[in-house]
Amino acid sequence: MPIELKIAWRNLFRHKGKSLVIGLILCLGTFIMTIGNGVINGLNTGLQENIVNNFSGDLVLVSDKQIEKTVLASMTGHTLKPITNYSELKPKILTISSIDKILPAGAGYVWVLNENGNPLDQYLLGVDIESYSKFFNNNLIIEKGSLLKKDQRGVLVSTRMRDWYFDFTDSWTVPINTPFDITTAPEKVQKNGTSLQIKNSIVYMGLSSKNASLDILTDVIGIVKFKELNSILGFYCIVDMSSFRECMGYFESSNNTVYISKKNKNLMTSDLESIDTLFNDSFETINESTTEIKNDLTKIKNIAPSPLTEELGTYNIIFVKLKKDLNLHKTITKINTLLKEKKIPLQAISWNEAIGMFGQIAMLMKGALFLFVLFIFIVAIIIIMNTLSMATMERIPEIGMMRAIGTKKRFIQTMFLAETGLLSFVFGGLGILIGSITIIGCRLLNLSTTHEMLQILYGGDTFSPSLDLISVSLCVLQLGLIVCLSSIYPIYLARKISPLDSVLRS
Amino acid sequence: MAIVELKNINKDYYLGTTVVHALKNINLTIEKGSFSAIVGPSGSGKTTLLNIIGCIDKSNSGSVQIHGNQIDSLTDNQLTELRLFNIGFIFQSFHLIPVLNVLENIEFPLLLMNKYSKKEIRMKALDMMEAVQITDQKNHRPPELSGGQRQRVAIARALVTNPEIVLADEPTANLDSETGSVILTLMKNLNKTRKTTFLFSTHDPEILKYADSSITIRDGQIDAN
Ligand SMILES: Nc1ncnc2c1ncn2[C@@H]1O[C@H](COP(=O)(O)OP(=O)(O)OP(=O)(O)O)[C@@H](O)[C@H]1O
Ligand SMILES: [Mg+2]
Repeated sequence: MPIELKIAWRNLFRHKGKSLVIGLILCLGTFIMTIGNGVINGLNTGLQENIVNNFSGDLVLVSDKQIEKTVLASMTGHTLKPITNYSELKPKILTISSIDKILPAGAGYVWVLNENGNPLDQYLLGVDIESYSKFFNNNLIIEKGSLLKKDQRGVLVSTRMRDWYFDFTDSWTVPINTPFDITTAPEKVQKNGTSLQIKNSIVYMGLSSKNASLDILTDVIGIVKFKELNSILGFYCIVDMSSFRECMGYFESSNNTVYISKKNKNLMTSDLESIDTLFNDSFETINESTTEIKNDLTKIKNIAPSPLTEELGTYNIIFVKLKKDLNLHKTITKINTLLKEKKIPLQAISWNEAIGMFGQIAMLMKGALFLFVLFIFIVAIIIIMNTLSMATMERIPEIGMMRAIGTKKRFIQTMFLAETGLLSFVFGGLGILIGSITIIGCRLLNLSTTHEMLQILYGGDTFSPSLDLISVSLCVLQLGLIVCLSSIYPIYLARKISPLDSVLRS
Repeated sequence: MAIVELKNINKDYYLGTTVVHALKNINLTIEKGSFSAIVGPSGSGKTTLLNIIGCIDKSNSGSVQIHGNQIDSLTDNQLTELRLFNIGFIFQSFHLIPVLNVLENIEFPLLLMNKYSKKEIRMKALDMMEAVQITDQKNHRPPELSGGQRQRVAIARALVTNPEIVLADEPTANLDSETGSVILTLMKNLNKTRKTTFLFSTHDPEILKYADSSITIRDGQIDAN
């Protein structure tokens, strides 16, 4: 063993107290950082997996005229630009080799009208439910009622929205033709007792074209839950494509007709026209050109909607799943160039850009976690630096003597680095190890939550922090940085010790 | 042959606004193989002078030559090497490396020299241990040794590199007079047998007896006699 290392190693035992203090701080610091990295990593992979598999696909295609990119979580109510010729585009899109499968849909921001006049806002997704379930591997769990049948009109209300409707309107949403048993309802619903209103249809108002927003009354066919991240994804309710188009004014946009299903429910007592006029002013800001749609309209009208011809209609978003193991961002750039080359008037947007707000919340969480880790990092550095500096000052005569008898500065520096290096190797390694074990333990515990923020933090319903090779290397790198940064000042001090210090202090 | 040559050395310390002239116009030559003492009252400048000769302090003016090397223009690393190869130090408070045992302490400067094989280093160290009669304590660490034993180790460490000159600032100040005499006898013997040049300071007349020649310093100036 080189003499520097020998001295460093023995010095650690000579100053047991200090070594232990620094060691424990290193251990705790790396432990917390490992956990932090694990949570961030779990959040990343969890969010990606759950959102990609359940909700958005790897990427979405939208009209190339679309400017705002947060197409699945726009808070401003600007609706997506329509895609009017999906049936023509489909074969062209499928020639792109990286694309595995696609699903056309409509996504929009709507208001839920109710008798007390204050509309609630939410998102609506129009799909052919059969293809949708297939595309997203049966991502919906039926709580009550059933999924939409072929060509059936109606809405699948998410449990999240059902709760929300209840909180704001005191009415409990129940699927049509489904007996309601109050004893199975949540406690807060039961408390409402006799004043409870049961609702099995909903009036949605699309915030779409100028003067062309249509109110649609849809029957509730089922109450559903997203398999993962329901408290976030549940902002969306799912309707059949025809209802969606009507709601968004993709049909008969010049004509303010109101589609009301034959079984008009008595709960919609107030005059819809008057509600319309009430909100008309605020709609004027929403400007949407619908000229292209009108051409399309005539085609549609003559053909009865069937799964095949359905594709002739207007959509505004296309979910895309890529073939396995492709780098998302590179592929998106490639797809976008291909779209331009093939003159397909669409653009590809990555899932995380499309989900905007949710992604941003996740980013904020990641940021907060990162800051927390950084904070621990800095605290550890300061404490270690301080302890090391004090230790250096105490050793001035000894180091001065070593300098006097012929030890170079480099030797002193190596000796100090070796001391902190050895400590961090042992204790930092221990911290990373304990952290990793804790992470595995957390995964085994299977902690699950329905809390919205926690679901984002978890990246799913269950807390599953994870460490891969990259995040473990990151921990090691952080540990190395701590060692280096906290040694700089003490080493600077040690290098400054002059041979003269050997005699001045003695 | 002169091992050390000082010419017109001045050393000032600045304490706030007052200047302490620690050394004034010192001219001094130390001959190879000599066993000399620097004597003088407290505060006269003995330590300052030894520090300058030992290249661990710099004078304000004048020139210092050690074994033919003009030291003023040397870098920190060069000075360090000069000390390692040419100068041995014996400190008043012994100053051993506490985590190394006797043998390792003596081997330490040889390791720094990066010049000898492991075997040679071990041989030289054992030989030196023999010379200062500390072989029995070979595996002890400094805190387990008495003052006299520690100073023996220090002497062995100073001499093991076979330096041109060994400097010792009051090497016996922390020892009782009997042990002090033993240490001085030991140094004197090594001077004779190994022809090592010694320069030490003291204000103990008992110790002074051992010196071949003495340099008296008073108020930073060398006394003419
Ligand atoms: N670092 C310093 N700063 C200021 N003045 C100093 C310093 N070192 C020494 N002096 C002064 O220089 C003069 C010579 O000091 P030096 O230590 O060389 O004396 P000395 O002969 O070794 O004394 P002693 O026998 O007490 O060890 C003294 O007046 C002392 O006060
Ligand atoms: Mg002195």
